[in-house]
Amino acid sequence: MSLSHTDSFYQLSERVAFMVEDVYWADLKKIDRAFGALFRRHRESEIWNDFIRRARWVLWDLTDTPLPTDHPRLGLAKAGEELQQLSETLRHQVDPEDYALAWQVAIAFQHLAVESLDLLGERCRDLLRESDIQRCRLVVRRPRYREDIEKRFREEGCPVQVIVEHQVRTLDIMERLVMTGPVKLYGQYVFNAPRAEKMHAVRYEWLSTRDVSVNDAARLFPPLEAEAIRRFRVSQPRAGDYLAPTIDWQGIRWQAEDRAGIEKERTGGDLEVDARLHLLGGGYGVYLNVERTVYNIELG
Amino acid sequence: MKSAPLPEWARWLMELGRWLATDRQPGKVARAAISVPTRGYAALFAGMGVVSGSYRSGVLNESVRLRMLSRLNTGDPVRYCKGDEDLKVSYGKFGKIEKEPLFDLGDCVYLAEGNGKEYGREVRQFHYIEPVGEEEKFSMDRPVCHSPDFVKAAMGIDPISQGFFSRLECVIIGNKTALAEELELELQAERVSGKVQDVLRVHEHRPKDGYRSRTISFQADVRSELVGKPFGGVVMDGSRSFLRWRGMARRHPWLAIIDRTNPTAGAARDAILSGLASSLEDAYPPVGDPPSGVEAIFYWDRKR
Repeated sequence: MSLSHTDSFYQLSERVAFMVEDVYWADLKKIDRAFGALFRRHRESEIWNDFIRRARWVLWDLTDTPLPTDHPRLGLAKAGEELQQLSETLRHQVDPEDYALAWQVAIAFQHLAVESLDLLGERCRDLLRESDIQRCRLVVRRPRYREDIEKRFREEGCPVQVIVEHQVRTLDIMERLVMTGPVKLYGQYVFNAPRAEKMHAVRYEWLSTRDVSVNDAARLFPPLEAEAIRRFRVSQPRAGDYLAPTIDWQGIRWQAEDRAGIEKERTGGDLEVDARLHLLGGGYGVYLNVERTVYNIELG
Repeated sequence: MKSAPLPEWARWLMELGRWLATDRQPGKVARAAISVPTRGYAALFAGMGVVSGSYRSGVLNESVRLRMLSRLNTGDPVRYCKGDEDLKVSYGKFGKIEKEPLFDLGDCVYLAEGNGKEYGREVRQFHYIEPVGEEEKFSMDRPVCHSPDFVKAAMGIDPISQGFFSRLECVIIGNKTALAEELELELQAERVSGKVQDVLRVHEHRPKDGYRSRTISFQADVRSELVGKPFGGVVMDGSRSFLRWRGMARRHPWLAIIDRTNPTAGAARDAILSGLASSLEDAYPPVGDPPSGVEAIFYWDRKR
């Protein structure tokens, strides 16, 4: 890459414009709310597991895939039927109110499957048509539907090249990039190392409250976070420091040694296992069993 | 930089490198972390700043320099910077110097020129005198400078003396292949063209020339290059270089350059903010606001 080409990436940072395009769709919002209520109540429940997992996949697809709801690749009709069956099996095991919500979600998916609604796609095409299509890209998060989306956009008279999120890293400077779905689902580099003069995030309106702001995503070192860190800089003694909790690493080490002694007595000798050395914050080291992938150190 | 058709960010990086190499405070070591939209050339421009900064200031810290000077014998080679010139002279030891701490001498050190002829002038800026250490080799039989006018115009340093001496002033850790390509970048200063390599004098790139810098792959073991050798600064090009080698570079002033498109940029950011949390205080290098597209954090760390 030449120096002038490299410079153009820096120059772009000055003139880039980020825009969030909110799309309104009352029917899908109702489904989202109904499923959201079920998810909050039963996400830990085993009997709801299959239903929640299946419905969640469908909603993920609908949230960021600019394809019409009757598109065969989305398989909304089949998903609706499966969810209806699953809700039937739950009928006598769950609260009637929850069953009604599950039923509502399943039926709503089936209704969407016979319509041909593509609100996300239409908004994306409107934006893309405002520029030279050769200098635009549509960014999708997952490669799964990339070819279907590209074909659909071509059929609709918008022959844009569709790329997957990670391809943005190596992209040359474009005039316009359109991304579908919430900002927070994209890698931060999409926003903080921009590759187009106009960057649009097209998402459903009800997701905005759960989304991050584009301005936050556009910085690697968030100023507020850095400021908060400076305020609590540990090396500077400040008034009231004694109130802050401190970690007694020496104590933790002694406790670990005691426990090891008790364990040795219990098992009647040394138990040899493969171990990996981990460094503790106070400069001490601790050997933990290499076979365990999740470590839980009790601080006593 | 006197005049060069360089982008603003490139000039800023050179100033930052210069600050890193020159600002020395007792008990502290300078840290700079920047994020850029693409990694291209950033490390080399920062490295050029480190090299030119080190050239002017000398990079040994005061106590090390004084200790080494106090052990010198008459006739030992020393390096003496006079204005933009870098002279190799021999050390003339007189009276009070012997076994006295040098800072009690009233800032007076006497020098004799290379061939034993007495220089005889009282030099008050004794901090420009450095013993020629083992790492600094004086050689007449190698190419001194490929474009001396460019080096002089671009960095304001004496190209001949810069070329005669070999001393490590800047270590750049990163992708060696990418860095090697960038070293051939041609620049212009006061209508004279030259290459980045002419200033940086990377040892690996032209092993037969005198050197001032080294580029080391982040995948290599850089421990032996970083431990125990005083030099101007370490430039860690990319988050992987930074995450892997920041611990080894802790004794030196360092600059971390984080390419925001790199998948590990988030992890590097967390490590930088963690370093900031345990730092002594914020640093305010006199380099102005970061240019467009660059984010920066500067702080002083406790010297360990």
